[in-house]
Amino acid sequence: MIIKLKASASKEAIQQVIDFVRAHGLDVDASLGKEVTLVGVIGDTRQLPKQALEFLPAVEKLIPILKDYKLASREFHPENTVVKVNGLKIGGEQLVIMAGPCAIEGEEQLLEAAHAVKEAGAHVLRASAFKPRTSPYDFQGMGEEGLKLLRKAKQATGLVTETEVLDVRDVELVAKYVDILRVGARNMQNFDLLREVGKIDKPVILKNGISSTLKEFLLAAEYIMAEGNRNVILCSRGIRTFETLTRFTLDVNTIPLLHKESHLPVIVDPSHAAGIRELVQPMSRAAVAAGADGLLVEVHSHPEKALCDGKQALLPSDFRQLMSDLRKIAPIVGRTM
Amino acid sequence: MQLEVERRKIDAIDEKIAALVSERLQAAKRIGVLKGGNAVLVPGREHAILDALASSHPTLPRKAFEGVFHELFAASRAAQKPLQVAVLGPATSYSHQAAAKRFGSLPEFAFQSSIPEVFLAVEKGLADYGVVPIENSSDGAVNATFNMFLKSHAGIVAEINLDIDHCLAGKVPLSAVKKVFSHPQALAQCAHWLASRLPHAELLEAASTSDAAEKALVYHSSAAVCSEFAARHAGLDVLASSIADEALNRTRFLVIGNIEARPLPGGRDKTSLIFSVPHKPGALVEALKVFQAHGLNITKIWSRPTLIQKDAYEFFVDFQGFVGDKKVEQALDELRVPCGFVKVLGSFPEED
Repeated sequence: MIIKLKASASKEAIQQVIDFVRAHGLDVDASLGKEVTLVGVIGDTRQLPKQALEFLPAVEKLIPILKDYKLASREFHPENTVVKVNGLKIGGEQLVIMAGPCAIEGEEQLLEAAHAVKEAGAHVLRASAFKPRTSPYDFQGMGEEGLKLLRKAKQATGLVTETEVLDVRDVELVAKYVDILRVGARNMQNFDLLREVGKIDKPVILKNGISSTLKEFLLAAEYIMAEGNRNVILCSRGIRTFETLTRFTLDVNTIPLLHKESHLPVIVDPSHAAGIRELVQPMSRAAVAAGADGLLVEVHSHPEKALCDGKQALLPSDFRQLMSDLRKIAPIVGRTM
Repeated sequence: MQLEVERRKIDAIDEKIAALVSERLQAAKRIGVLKGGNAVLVPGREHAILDALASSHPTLPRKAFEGVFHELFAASRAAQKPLQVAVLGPATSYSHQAAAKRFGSLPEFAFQSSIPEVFLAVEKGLADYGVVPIENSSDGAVNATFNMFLKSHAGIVAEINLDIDHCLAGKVPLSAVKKVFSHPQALAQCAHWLASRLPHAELLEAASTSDAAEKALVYHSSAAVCSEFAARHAGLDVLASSIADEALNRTRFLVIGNIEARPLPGGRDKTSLIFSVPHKPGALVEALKVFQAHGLNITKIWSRPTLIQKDAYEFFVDFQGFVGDKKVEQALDELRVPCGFVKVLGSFPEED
């Protein structure tokens, strides 16, 4: 529910409204935009005596949110949410590029990739220590040792780090080592995991499930936000279609649609969406042209030796080319790099 | 205006202090060269400096300037050579805290996973000193430490008393705290305070108070009950100090080192030793009479079964005095008559 305040309301009168809401065990959205006349109410509004609330001098009217997702909806929060992490702003004017190897395979591999993406101008180092693999016999990731290497890479390059968390039991551990947590497509509706990352004081990248609707996607974000973590970044990573020549299909539609429905930043993972190296650059350009706030790209210095998803990883030289292309596209869509 | 003037005065004073600190470190470095790189902790000397300063500046708050001087001593020692101190881990454990109280924050702390490993690190020369707990005001003696003194070549060079106290630490203001993490014992010790100040907060268990501090860093709207030391270490703000409902316990730690690290007499010293007596009537009285005869005040006596012989006991004794002192040397000689075994663990300045 949203409370529309009178434009003439005094500070004291507004505080009275906030105190009223809090006295009933609910909270108000702390991240108010420029439109201070709108106050979002957080929690189960059924317990709120609405007539009494409407009677307060500062209140103009109460607007119910009809969507199933509330905290994630644009109605609740008309301004874009800008997620801030270590001085980096995601969802603002700057296009944020997250790049790195699919999996952490060793110190040398990770540091080489980290330096390569840093030099090319990336802002965030992506790399997974825990890997969800289709086969139990495939490489499963380095676990905590990998997280330590990620921290080392951060110290060496100054890059912000992000990694996937697969299991509720690992959430705290991962949050100790990295700056941004990622919930992968296979876990988009792992509600316990969503709740757990919702308790963490670090941004969460949430990827869409391969056959989920946008409503389901935004409801998954709602799970995280309902636990108090408002720093959710939506990541469009492609959907399952009838096509067999590609792994998945990048659904470019989702970028403007998610921006319309939600105030959360939207980034795109062209690597998983395409699954083929040749498609990663054109899909990246398309995503930025369509208004994505950032990209999550796989880059590997020796893709032929990669233990995971080598076929979709860009070479550092490809990545440098992509960055130079994006620098040309960014100003056209009102972005900086 | 007045504020500006006072600030400028402070800037000038700080400038003088910095110059003096630098001068002191230079002097320490020269002493280090004279000592030829040998052990540099001389607790008696540091105590004497503090006592002298306290008596010549009676208006200074002793605790505050002791803190400043401990860091200064630590910096001086580091100027002589970087100290390696083995402590029972993990980081921010009470042993670590005790060690930091004694040595400041400059030495390299090597965290060990057991008490025997702390002794081993010192014996092998991997660490200059070790810090081990010996006695806790609520749980009594730490047996693992006593056992190691029987076998080890390491001696005692100093003691440290640490008052265990809790604070509430977090990254959000007190009013925004919705969850409080800590070890169940610590939560219980602050139950009343938490119930009155944070009645709606959820209390959640952590493996240790250090773990709680790390959790408060990771979870939003949360805080930890932990030591101020652990809070600082984790980068948390102290939201409230001394929140335990009753005064908490005090733990005594010992600093151990090799022979060459033995301290100089400082005026107010204590000696620790172990002896055993044969299993016959009056044997213990015979031994204690030696202390009486030489006017040596016993501050602690502790018995425990020997590991070697059935029904026999070893006695750990602390008395006021310094090995090297004539009276003490004579007493030790005489003590060897009734006792089958006498082992001096060390003499060191007495802590308050």
